[in-house]
Amino acid sequence: MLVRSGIYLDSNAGAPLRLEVTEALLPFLKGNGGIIANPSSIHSHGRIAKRAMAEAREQIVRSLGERIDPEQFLFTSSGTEANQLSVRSVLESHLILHKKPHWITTAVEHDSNRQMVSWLEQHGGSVTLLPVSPEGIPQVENLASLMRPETALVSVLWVNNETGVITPIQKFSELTQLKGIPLHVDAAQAWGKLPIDLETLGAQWVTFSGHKIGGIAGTGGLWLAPGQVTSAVLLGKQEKGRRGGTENLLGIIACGAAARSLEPLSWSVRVARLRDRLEKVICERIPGTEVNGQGADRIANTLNLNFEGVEGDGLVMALDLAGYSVSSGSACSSGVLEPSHVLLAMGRTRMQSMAAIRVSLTDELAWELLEGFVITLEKVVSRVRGSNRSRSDF
Amino acid sequence: MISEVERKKILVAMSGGVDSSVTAALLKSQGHEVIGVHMQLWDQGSANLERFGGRCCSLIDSNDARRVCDKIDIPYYVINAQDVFKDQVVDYFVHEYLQNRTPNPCVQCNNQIKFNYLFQKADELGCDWIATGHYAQVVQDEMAQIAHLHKAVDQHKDQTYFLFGLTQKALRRTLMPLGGMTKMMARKLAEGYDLAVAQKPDSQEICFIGQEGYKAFIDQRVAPLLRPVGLIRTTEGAIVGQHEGLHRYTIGQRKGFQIQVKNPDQYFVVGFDSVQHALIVGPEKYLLNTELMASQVNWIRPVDQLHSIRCKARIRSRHEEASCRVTCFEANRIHVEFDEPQRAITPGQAIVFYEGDETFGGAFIDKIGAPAEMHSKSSSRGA
Repeated sequence: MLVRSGIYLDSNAGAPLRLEVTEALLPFLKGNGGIIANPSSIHSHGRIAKRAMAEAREQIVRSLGERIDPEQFLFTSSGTEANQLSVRSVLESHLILHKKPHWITTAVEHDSNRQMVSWLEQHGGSVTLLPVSPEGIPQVENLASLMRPETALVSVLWVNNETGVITPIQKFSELTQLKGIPLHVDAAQAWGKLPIDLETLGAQWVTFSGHKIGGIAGTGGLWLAPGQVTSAVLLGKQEKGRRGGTENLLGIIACGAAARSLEPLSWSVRVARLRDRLEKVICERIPGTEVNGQGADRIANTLNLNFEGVEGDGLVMALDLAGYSVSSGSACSSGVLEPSHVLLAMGRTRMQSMAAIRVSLTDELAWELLEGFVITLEKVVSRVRGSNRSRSDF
Repeated sequence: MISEVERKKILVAMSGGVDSSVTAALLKSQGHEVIGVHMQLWDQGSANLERFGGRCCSLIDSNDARRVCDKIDIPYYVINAQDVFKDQVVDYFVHEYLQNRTPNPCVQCNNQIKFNYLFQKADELGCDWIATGHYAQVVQDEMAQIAHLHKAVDQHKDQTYFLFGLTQKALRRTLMPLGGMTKMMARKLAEGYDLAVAQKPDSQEICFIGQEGYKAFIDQRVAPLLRPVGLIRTTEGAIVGQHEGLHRYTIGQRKGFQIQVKNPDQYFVVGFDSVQHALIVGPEKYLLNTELMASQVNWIRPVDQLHSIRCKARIRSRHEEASCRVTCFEANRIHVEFDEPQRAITPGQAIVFYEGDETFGGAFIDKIGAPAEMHSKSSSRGA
């Protein structure tokens, strides 16, 4: 068993399991003698499972608005699946009629959404990427001019996972409602970090993810406005025929327990204070620090940094060796870091886009720990700067 | 176990093969702080598993390296060297062929990527040393503060030819622990450490070129205008056929072209006419030459450049060493005169110098024959 000590500053990639989740899972497992029954079974064990799932669904939708119908929320394996199911469902309904739908999404989406760009193009549709400002805000003022008669869907990331920049989502929904185009919102990073009310949001498809709120990876969710129809990729009777496959009961219970304990407003107040202090101290101690997304509205816990003279992918590794887990761009399956498409869209160079680091806090943390991080960061940045400068000497 | 003073922080360059895996395991077992680094050199997208399965740069290799690092419990990172590899190795490879030279991308990769870019990464990660699984021996002369590069004990596996670009700055902090053992021993050690890669076959060929071969690789990347077809001429000037682009031929080649002569199998590629884009063919005697000019010289350790140097040289990786005399010119150029004529001296290839078991430098061959000012001694050559 590998045990690594170190300080975890990568909550946006996967938040640590909430205490409330463990407290919900253990009694369920003990109470049922370790039986994780199939919710589709009609016997008593199955009914217990089904009830636990229904409770979790209740708890989840209560975190998404006052009067949200639990039946409009379906469980998936991940935010990725929820995103792709949304996009596929809307666009396929046009494709089967031999139409060529047009999809507008932004240049800073999560990879799961970006994957659908080539999918749609292969199927004869077209895609327009809405640009972002240098601060990383999707430029909604350009949205109307990009819409076409055949525009079938607008997809937008509510909170950017890399920079924490918040999209002015209300402006998107006003415009899409006006034009009668369905709006798909990826709320994976917004859940738990911003107050959400799906009733007034004005979106038709909204994506959620369990492990971003302190649940377990392997559980995601999709909320559909009444009247929306999924075109299921996995066929089966589960989730009212909208998504086949035996439900991930433990993940769902975990997700429900995590959702019940969310307090986005008080969390934001607590965490923003800490993040702002961290940002200020880093900028003071390390000259040439650039905060990506500075000037835009950002969620409370995220800090995305470039350092002048630091290029390439060494910083995250050097920090890891010093015991700090932070994140960078995006890693492909071999583990190699690629330049962040988000930072590229914001106008950074390829090397800068690979060199940025993202610090994302889970919740309150002793300042001494973050101070230790700053001291290490200062040391590592100056070492990497030196090595970048001396490269041609060999 | 070593003492705390001797304990080094070492970056091990891990390809996912057995050699670098054993290197990492060996250093770890000696008590050093070891960090495994795999360099992603070539885009996975264009290197799909079927064509590249189990070779450099494939996902399989980076996963193999990861499993070894997990097994011996050391940190592991994959470094993105794709941009620098494309610039320094792949583009160089293509450009060399377009200039009628036959490049050696492995030499270039060692020079530019493994012992330059990787040292930058080592500095970034705070590693004092770099270790590789090369079969060569680094001998540190602490008194003189000079590092020497010696051949591997296993002569069949010796890789010093590919390492002539190493500088003192790099070599002074480089470890090659496999230089003192045979490949068989390395595999035995891998089994002893219970590494999954113990029986993995050796990598062959050029890592970024798949089964389509280097000619198709170049054809895909270069407009036809820059690789025109042309005539095949004999050394006497007779036109005997047509070629399909000069990059498709290498000096010394006998097959792969059609010519109208009496005994076609007695004709070899002996040169290129880069002005008229003609391929020059001739009998074998035209392949034999005693002199060459080379540039981009690197001396691994200091040498006396004021006097000519008597030593042995290899003009390609599997060439038998031949005695020669090296004269240094300005601008990092050298003239080499062999005692005996050598077959198929090829511009673009590296010439690497040896003194006994020591490799002390090398250069890239530019042309066959003597420098212009020594023209009276120039050898006979077709073009």
